[in-house]
Amino acid sequence: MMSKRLLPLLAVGGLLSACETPPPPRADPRLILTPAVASLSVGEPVVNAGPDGRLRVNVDIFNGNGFDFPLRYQTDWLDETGRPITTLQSRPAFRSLARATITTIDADAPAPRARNFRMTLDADTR
Amino acid sequence: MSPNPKDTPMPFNTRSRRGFMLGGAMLLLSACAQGEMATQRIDSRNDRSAIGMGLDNRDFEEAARSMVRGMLESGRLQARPDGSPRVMAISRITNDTTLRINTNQLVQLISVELSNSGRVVTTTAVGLEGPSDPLSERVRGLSRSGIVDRNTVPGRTVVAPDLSLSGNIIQSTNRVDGGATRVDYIFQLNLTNIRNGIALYQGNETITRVGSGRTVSW
Repeated sequence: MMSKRLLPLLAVGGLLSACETPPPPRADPRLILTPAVASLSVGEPVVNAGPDGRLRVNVDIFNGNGFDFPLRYQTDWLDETGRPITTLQSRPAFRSLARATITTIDADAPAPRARNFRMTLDADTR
Repeated sequence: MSPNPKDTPMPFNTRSRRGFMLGGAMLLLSACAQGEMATQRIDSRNDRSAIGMGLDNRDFEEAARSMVRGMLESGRLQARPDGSPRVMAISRITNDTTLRINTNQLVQLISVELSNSGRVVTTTAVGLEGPSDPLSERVRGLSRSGIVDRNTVPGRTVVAPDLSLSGNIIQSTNRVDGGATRVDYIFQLNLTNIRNGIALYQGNETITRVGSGRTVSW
């Protein structure tokens, strides 16, 4: 009797824990996606250096949802020692991703001394 | 002998009325106290607090970030041929909104970010309405002082600016369907080459709010 009650509970628990399993890590660790943007298709970041030596990053995002998606993204720029550079360019930025459309998110390094970056994509839930 | 009014028992209905009024007042006060939001510390790098119809620091940062990026991307804002940065002076930034805005909030963000780029520095010794730091000029008057070594008083060493930053912040308010209010705040900036008067950069950044008209501040 006890096991009959426990089995469905365990099954439900197992299903729930499966739902909470985090997605596999992305190939590019510089791009951090929160669970809130799981419904978006995010491409790999394309990184180039401009004529002045500043890094520029482009990321294509496809919003296949039936609604416009409020995106909040933040790019930390790191110097050669891996420390974040204090800059306005690392403040959160907001985009409304139009439904069924690809939007290109881009970010520019504040200075040539920025050697790497870390971009976090999240939903704007204000 | 008439009875002392203090000794006269209060009619029940008067006493209960006073009690009810007092109780009501207490309830109202406690309701207000419960509705009051506790003070919180906010990390400006992760500020998800509520917004209003007016402008807050996040909007200035967004406008400054976008316009500095435009300046650096324009390709016209290069360092001097000898590699030294251009010198920018702050001209007139007009607040044409109903908000009380200190335009330094915007100017400082732009100055710092341009300075970090290595291409532009800002002079505090020259400004449209006088220098933002008058000490550069006043120190030169110390050459007549009896206690200061004249050899340490700077001479004509202040660098004249190459660039001038000017602009406007404009507000446009409209009623929209459903009784809501739409407010557009338009940040316009010009970066002018002082030597020839030609704008090297002209930027326009709009920040828009749609919300209840009750929260519009004017």
